[in-house]
Amino acid sequence: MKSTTLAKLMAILFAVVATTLLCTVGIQAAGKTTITLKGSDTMLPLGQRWAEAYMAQNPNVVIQVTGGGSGVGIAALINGSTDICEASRSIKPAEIDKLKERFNSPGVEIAVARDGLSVYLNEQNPVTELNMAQLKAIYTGEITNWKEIGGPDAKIILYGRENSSGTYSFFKDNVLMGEDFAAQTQTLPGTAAIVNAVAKDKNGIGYGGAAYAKGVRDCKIKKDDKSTGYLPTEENIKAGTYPLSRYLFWYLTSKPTGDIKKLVNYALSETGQKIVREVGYFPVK
Amino acid sequence: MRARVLLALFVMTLMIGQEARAQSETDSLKEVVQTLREKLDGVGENLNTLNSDAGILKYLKVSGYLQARYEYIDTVLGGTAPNSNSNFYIRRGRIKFTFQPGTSSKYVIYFDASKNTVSLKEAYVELYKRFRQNNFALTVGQQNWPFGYEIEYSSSKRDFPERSNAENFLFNGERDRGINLTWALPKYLQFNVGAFQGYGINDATFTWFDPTKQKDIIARAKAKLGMVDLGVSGYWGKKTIAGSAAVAGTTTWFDANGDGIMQATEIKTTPAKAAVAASEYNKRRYGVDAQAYFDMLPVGGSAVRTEFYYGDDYSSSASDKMATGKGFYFWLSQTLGKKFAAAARYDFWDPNVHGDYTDNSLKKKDDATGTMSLAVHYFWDSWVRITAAYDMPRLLKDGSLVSKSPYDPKDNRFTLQFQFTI
Repeated sequence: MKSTTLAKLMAILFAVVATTLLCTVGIQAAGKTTITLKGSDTMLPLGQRWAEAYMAQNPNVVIQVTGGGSGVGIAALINGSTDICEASRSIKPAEIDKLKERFNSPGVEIAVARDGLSVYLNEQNPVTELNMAQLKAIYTGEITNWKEIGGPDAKIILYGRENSSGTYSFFKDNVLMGEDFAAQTQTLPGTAAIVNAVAKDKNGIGYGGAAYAKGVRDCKIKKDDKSTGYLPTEENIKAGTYPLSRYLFWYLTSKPTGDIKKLVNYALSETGQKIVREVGYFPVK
Repeated sequence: MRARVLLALFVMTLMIGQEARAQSETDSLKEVVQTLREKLDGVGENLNTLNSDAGILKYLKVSGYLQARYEYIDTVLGGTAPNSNSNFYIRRGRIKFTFQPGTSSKYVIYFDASKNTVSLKEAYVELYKRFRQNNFALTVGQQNWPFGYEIEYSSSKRDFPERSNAENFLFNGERDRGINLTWALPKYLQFNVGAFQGYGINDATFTWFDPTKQKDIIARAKAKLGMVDLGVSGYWGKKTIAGSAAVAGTTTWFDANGDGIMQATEIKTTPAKAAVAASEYNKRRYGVDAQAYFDMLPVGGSAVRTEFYYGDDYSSSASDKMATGKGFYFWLSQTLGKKFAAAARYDFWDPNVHGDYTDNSLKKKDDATGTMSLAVHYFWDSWVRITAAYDMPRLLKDGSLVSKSPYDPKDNRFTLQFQFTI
């Protein structure tokens, strides 16, 4: 350990780091604070509404909201390019491991809203309800014609999300039980695109957030063929009778502090949860 | 009256003409729309073909990282040895191609271009099966040894330029060829059991074949308990030491005085050597590791990581041909906002616990090493990390003729590293 020159060099280096750190904090305190939200397309309208409302009350804060999918948001959180990740699925163990490597923390999960994952049908489609097994069979390609499930003699056209989407992962884990989607599933970039496609295609079927179901019809979902079918309403989701309900999350690298903590508190406040309901999702409280 | 009739006829003619023109324009527009629709259908078909062709690229992921490094090692200058203690070099230049067309299988090939060579780091096929909450994976090919925490921890994420001394000695190269079965309850538990060649990718003697019939067995269990992760690992294998063929005795005469007469002093006899059979030695390693994460400071997360290694192996210089080594590290890491992080590590390694080395003409030579390392990181952007690290090794015991104990040679090392990760 005999090296006074190198020891001095290291001491200088640590001093430079400490000074830069303090300067960075100082600059942030003096100017406008920018908070970035990135991730789930399902949560995009919700994030945007929160941001607009919060910025109107806090002019010194700029909130940038972008989509791309839950997987993209979590990747951005891991590489440090977003402050908050919006995700419509839980973070995966492998992603937690990456957070531990980069930020010495498994991350912080905050449930900010609830959602019923809707199964969209065209308004002309006579099918009104499906059970979970049928839904799985449709999306894995075992059932390919509507007549097999009480509909017209027509080929089922499958619409789904890209694999970076949290909605895709949730559907795959909870409906397909981990199996692959049928090869003929048409992947579309965003829930709005799926709703649009099903609205125009009388033989189409899609899935996505309840807030998007405009111009299409929600399908009742049954746990099995003997149980009752339920629509993704607030009442059914709160009661736990709708089989495809999920939480929508915000993920952070560590416990929120400063402006980020204020934003989290706002999203969970009565006003923030009122916005959740206005957008078409359901409050967590 | 006549004028009115003429006017009406004129207006009717005009209207009929306009209607005919409108009809003609409508027909023309219909033709244009039809042509456009056909063209659009054609574009749509082309787009579908293009999507189908390009879609395969979605399954291909390219990742990797480059570590450009300046290193200064503190040495006593002078003497005849070349002075190479100050260097710029590429420590790691990695590129990994992963092709995963579905959830049932994956192909990985991983290269390293560093210093003056390009080498294959990993190449394997991985198969997946999920049964309820149980995930199974079977990995076949060249891959990480499923042992301990450090091996699987990427060098692109590690706080320090190199892994611990114990890991470097017991698992040099970190990878081997073999088969590894993983069973995971992803949020809580993971078990691995594997059979490997045993020599590792850095072994110079046996580059691809294994002279021992038995494969080396590795097992690992890892538990995730919220803010704490725990792991235990074991390795049981054999190492073969090559034998030598018999050598016949020889008698040679050198006519030293040139008198043509064979004299007793001019005759040299080399005795015959018997063949030495190849021999096998046990090779065992055991390890425990723990990582704890704390989120108490406003600047970011803190982590404590520690690992203990114990293992024995063949040693050409140990009197009983076996040497037992043990080592551990204690590693503290602190995130400092989004841009900075700092870390400190104490790394202990004793390559011969029983102290029976007899090499270097020293008796009971036993060079246990304790290395204190400090590092600071600056995250330039999402891809670049700049690291300054300082390693301070000390010899803790030296049963040789060196009187000082602990003994601290002049060998501290400063590293400045620029890393780009994709």
